[in-house]
Amino acid sequence: MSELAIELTDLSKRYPGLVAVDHLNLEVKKGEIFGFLGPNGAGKSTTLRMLLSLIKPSTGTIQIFGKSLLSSRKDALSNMGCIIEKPDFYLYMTAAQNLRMLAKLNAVALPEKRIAEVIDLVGLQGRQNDRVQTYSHGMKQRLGLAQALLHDPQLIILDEPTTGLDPQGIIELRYLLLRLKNEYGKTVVLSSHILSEVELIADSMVIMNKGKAVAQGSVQQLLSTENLLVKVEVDNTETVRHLLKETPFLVLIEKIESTNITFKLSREQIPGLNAFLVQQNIPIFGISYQRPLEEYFLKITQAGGAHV
Amino acid sequence: MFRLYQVELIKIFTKPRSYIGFLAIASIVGLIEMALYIDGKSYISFILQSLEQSFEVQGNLLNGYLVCFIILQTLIVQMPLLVALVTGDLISGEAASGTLRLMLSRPFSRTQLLTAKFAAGASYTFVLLLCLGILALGGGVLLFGEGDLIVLKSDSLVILRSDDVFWRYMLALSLAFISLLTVASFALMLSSFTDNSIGPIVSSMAVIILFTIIGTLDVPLFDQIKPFLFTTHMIIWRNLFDNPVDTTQVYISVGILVFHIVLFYSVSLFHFNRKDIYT
Repeated sequence: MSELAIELTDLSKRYPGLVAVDHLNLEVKKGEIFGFLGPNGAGKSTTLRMLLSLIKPSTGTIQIFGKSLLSSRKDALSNMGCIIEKPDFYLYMTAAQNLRMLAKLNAVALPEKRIAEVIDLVGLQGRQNDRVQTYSHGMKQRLGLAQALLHDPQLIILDEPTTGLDPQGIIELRYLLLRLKNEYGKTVVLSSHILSEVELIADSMVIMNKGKAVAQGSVQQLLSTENLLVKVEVDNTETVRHLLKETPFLVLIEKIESTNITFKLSREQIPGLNAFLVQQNIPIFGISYQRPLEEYFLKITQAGGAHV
Repeated sequence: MFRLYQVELIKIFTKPRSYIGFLAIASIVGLIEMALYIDGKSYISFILQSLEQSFEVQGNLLNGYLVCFIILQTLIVQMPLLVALVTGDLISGEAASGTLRLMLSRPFSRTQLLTAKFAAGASYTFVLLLCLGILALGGGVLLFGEGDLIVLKSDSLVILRSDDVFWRYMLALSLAFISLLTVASFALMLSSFTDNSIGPIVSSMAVIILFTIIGTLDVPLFDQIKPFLFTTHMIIWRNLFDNPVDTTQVYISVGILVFHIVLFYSVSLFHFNRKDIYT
């Protein structure tokens, strides 16, 4: 039995004049939360749609729990729950009717008890008999999660699941996903364009841009606190630069602007720099840091995508 | 597969739009029956005024069978629209609302889903027609009683004895079902090509109207294509009210309609299985 929940090999999706996903190789281990990051148009949703066989790949293979999606589609889908893009339902039906109907569509029909369980799990109890058209976006998102969990799948794919949720809802979702991983051993693939959101719960992640994986690995590895870009806000950067001449910090300067000096430091070096500047009676108005990947990610998401 | 079919039926019959057809049929049939009940005698004498100069007409002419025939003639235009309203929405409506990806992410093949939708669409068509049959024939006989059926054709007059009519209606409704199933499969095919729900419904009607016009116009150019248009064969149910029935023509028309159903279903299947789902 494979230790991988998902294995993508050389996966591409091409359209005339556009490469949406470009030779993507990816591995998601069983029982981990995997973050799928990237700006809009990076190819995240296309990849997730290919995982669910909604879109046919131009090249490459997809393995779900060690079996080819092409030859074992039914098995693969029986073991997957998902929200793709946004949770859409039959608006003229109630939440319970929607779930009851979807419960019929599994390999084995699910009992009514299971519907009540997932409604409780996502916090929709008391509203399950209301028509979905009366639901807010956040409630639809919860219902989306309920349908994804309905058949107790081993792999859960969630495309931007926090969209429309209030802060409390986001925290609850975060705990729920961690519970699904820790207590039930589920594998969760989470797509987002918010790095901090993924960082909080993911074990591994991939950052996509222009259809390619530009960074991939464990969150700990990718978002290490080595080589931080530390920005110090002062009055006079020239004075500071002059004072730093006799210190090891001078060579660590990355950039000097009118009131900001950026250093490349490890997290442990920050107090030392701070102490030195205070000793020299330099008024410090702020110290902030960014990890290099974070900076890169912000750049591509703010610019709407960048070439690598 | 049966569960998928059940789900498709649930979707159709919980959707408010599906009841427009039943409401329309009940209203039209009700209106016609009420009008004929109040003023039917003068309507009948108006129709028969030319005949009364040559024949002596006696008995209950305004009976349930005639009323049903008048209703079926009237509804021939509306029924395809009512069927297309639901079947044209089966795939494209779900694509537009985003629920198609919800369905396709379940452990069923696309062929199974399309087949379930086709079967559910056929069931809806059957129930709609059954409703028409009960209201028109049942309601007609209940209100106006039984009697011989006089069918006026453009070039002849057919008189069918009362005990020779019922089986003709049963067969006529069966043929009407095959005709409407052709419309349903055509609308379903168009539905598999688009992602908006109105397009296939309007397109189905536009094609039916266009083909009907071609079928009606007496232009030599059109005469060659008329036999191949499915709309030409959709009125075959009328042949059952000839005496004797031209069974060969009935078989040919049924064959052509069935061929169209298979063709439309196969095209839908071919396209739907290759379609990328973005909505």
